[in-house]
Amino acid sequence: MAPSHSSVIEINNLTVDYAHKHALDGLSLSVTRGEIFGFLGPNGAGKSTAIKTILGLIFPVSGSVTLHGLSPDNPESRRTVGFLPEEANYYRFLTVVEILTFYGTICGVAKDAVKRRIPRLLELVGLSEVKNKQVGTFSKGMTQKISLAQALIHEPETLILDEPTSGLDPLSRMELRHILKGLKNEGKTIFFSSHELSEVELLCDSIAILKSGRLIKSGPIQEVLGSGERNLERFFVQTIKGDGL
Amino acid sequence: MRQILAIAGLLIKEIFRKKDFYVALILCAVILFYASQLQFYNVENITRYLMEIGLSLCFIFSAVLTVSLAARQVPSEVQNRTLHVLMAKPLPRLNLVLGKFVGSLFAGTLCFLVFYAVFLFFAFSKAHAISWPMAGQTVYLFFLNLMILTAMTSGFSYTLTVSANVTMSLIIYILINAYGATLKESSAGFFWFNRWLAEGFYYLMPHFEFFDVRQRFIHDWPPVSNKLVGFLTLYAVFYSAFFLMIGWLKFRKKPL
Repeated sequence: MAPSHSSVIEINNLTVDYAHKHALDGLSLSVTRGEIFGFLGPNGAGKSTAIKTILGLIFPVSGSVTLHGLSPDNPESRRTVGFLPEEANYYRFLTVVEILTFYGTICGVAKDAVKRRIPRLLELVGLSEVKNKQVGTFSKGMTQKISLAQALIHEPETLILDEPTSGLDPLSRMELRHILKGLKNEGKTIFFSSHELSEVELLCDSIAILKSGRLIKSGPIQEVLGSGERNLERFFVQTIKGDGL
Repeated sequence: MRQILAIAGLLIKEIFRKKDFYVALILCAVILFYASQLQFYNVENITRYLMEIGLSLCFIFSAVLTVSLAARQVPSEVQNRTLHVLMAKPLPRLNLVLGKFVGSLFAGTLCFLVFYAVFLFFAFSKAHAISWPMAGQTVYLFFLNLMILTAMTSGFSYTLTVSANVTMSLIIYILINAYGATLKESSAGFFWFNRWLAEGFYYLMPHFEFFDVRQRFIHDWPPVSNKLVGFLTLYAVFYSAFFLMIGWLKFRKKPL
């Protein structure tokens, strides 16, 4: 796959091993600027491994990854990237405002800018009322909202979300979907892994389906589904259960 | 630099928002209070002995708090997954290593200063003459001592579990403080292999006892020369850099 200038994430023939087993096996894909890209696959397919490799948290055996044209080994590749992990925990002894200030500082955002952005972000995710509470006692839904706020504190161009709706109630999911659509309208690129196929169908421009570390299908969602199949869930189940490899 | 200071600030908040420090502070104050109430406290030699106990308490409590803080940083952040979020930011791994080190060192030093203030209050209240230059030098040399201990524990934290790291760091610290000065001489009668091991340990491990000026402080001896303090500063910086480099080499390609 030839690198493209409009690509935000470029993965070429990526192989990552866990305990002498291929967690990713020759994965290649490209995420274009401004699109919402859904990354699908059953449990253990390698979605989180791919995300960790893109972010430089783990290292490939072979192949290459670029994020905004830079290798994940270079911390600068993450300068304009926001990450929302699947299962996040934050420093229990800090308040919401302190957490956002801390991550803003780590991202190199000026003090004044952090102060300006925090109230707006807290309003966006609905945490304004608990901004001075320590996060140790927060529910999973509230923690997920902090995750989103910290991912946006430096106004990133690209968002990488690992199972963002996991553990959220239907109302929070709807709110998150609304936020993601708003971010897409602002021109942000969003790459997210999910099991929630209805969310993916509603939000994504392109998808990739992964099974046992290998890419089965990839491309614009309508192209992947084809003319005969209009339901992503049915298509996904058939693809995973069928002899896709 | 902002990243390093932000991480360091986080550790300082951590130590003062958890109970460990306050438990140690209350314990330290209670022991010093009861010691100061003893009738024979006015006997000069007993006073000196009790001052030694007080100063030792300050050193021990600060060292234990610092070791437990530095040792749990990376392993517990990996377990809680807070490290994933942090390292997904544009944060070089070296800055994390330095931030954790600086934070643990400053947090430990602040704890020491609080314990030390309590100690000085009791010492001063018993009208014992205090040599302020010596009191200041004690703080500085303990800071250097803590610097090596923090760097060692931080360096080990990229490899060892929290409990293994705390145990190993404290054993090394206590052994060197207790036997560091006499280890080489006492190994002279050992079987050659044991002597070789003891001498290797003697030359490889940092000598924490070099920084211990309790006796000078208690007996009102003059402070050590500036030249020696300069040498000890270089010694502490060298060992700290050595341990931090070990930690960084381990962490720079560690999968998270």
